[in-house]
Amino acid sequence: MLDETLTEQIKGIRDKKYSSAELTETLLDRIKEKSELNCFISTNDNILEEAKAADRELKRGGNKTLLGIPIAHKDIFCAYGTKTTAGSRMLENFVAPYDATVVSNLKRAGAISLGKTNMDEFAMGSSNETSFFGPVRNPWDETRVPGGSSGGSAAAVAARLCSAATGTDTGGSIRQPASFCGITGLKPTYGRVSRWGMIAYASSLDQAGPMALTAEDCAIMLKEMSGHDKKDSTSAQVAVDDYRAFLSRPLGKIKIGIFEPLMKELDFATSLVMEKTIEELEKIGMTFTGIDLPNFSYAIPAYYVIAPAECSANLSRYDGVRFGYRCDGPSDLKELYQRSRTEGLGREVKNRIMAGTFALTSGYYDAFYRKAQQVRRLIKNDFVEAFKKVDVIIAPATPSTAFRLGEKADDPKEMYLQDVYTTSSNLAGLPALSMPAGFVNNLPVGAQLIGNYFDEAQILSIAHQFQSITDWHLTSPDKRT
Amino acid sequence: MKVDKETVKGIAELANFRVEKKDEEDLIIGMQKILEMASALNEAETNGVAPMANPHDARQILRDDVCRDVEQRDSFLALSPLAANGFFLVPKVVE
Repeated sequence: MLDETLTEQIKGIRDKKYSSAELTETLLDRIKEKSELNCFISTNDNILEEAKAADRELKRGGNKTLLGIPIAHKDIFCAYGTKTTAGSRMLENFVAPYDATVVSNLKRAGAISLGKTNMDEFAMGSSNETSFFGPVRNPWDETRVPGGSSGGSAAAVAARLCSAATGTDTGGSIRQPASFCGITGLKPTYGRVSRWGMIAYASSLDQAGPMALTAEDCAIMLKEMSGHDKKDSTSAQVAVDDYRAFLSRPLGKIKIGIFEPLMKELDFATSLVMEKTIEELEKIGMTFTGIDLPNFSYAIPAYYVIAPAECSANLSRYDGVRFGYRCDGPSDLKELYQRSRTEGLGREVKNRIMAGTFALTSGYYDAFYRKAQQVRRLIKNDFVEAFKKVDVIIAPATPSTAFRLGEKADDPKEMYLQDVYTTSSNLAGLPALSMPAGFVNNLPVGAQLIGNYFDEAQILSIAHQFQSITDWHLTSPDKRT
Repeated sequence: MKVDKETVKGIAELANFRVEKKDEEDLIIGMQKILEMASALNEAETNGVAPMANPHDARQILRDDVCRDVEQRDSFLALSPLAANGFFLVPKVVE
């Protein structure tokens, strides 16, 4: 049952091949066995009781979609009565007083939580090395990073510690680790999933999404996670599709756009993977055409102004007074604020807060923040124009395969360039997924599909069709040859 | 854009950080790298382009001005590192 997808586990429990309690026990053993990966910050002590309750509900005819399915939550989602750390010393002892909407939606669908997965501190990082709780290791090669910031979720799914997990994506934090770990990860349209109870990094970019082995699994998860939420006024009042039902419908004539300059930047082996992916998609009836995204190269600079600016405001709440870390023996209020923040937050978080604060100062606001917001509109406009010509855009997910732990830790610029293919969808607010598309030197490579607004169904369907003729998504680190 | 010790000191004050001598260089480099990348924005032609704060250009939805939440004072105070008698405690502010 460990190698089964979420879809198969749902069936396994329904068909009484095994119970939720049996599946849960197996996964808990697996989590212990793979503890060196450091995927979890905390595990749920009550999960066996919850699994047994789910089994009783199943016996009574319960038919919730995810009834009794153990999943994992990125430790950025508040879950009532459990520690929610965001990978930071600042929140090391923070016990959430309520459930995030994502958590309550999945609970309502019957899912049970194995625990909270490790992540870059406050979702700021592309390697999971900025976590206060130590780095996560990539199950494909434990000397390498799993990507970030949702690295714990990605590695947990890849290592078969759970069949699905939640993640968040501000600049690529679902898609980059999905690519590095050989799983499927979807960042939905901005506003598709409520951000209530999701610890904020950059509010106009943050979006929660599913991480799982297959597009079908992501479709199931996304339907349950999505929907308008009165508690998040930025959540969209747009009907939620039955994404899974869409998967089996004929796709019709799909035109996929390629922005050639992105493909030319790739190394030879990765470009072969992308070429092969395009060939496979052609086999299932997709056609390809060139598109122009003239402002694409400004995505990283714009992102690294907007995200730090928003984080400098969002993280000002951590002041040692109401919750979170408080320094010992401050002599006055100013010292309480300053030392609590300085001691409680890590280096990368401080760098971004400092840069964001700078970009918002009166002398530099127009040159940095306003300029970045103008460029953001240009980037969005480019996508709007492109989607007049094509239905979907294909792009690489990452510039490389998983790199070694420590390799880029002292070079922030190199680290930031990890997001080169992903940030533009966050700036524009578009849905995008990464699907396993091959291997380079025994390490997974993902291909990215970017869809039009609220058209998650389309990119999930294409990924599903691709996965029906390939098996990259089913290759596990334990079974590689 | 050159970041120096004075810039770091001023920004740290605004961001409520204490800068120890040993961390000064790290913060200069960290800020410098981000701002160097951001300076590429200068090349973009943005005359007449309206800034975009939200991907859908959405406006804030206002809700009816009615009290909905249940009283949660105690549970929120319990999260505080230091609280007593219904208050968050901080060092003395007024003599």
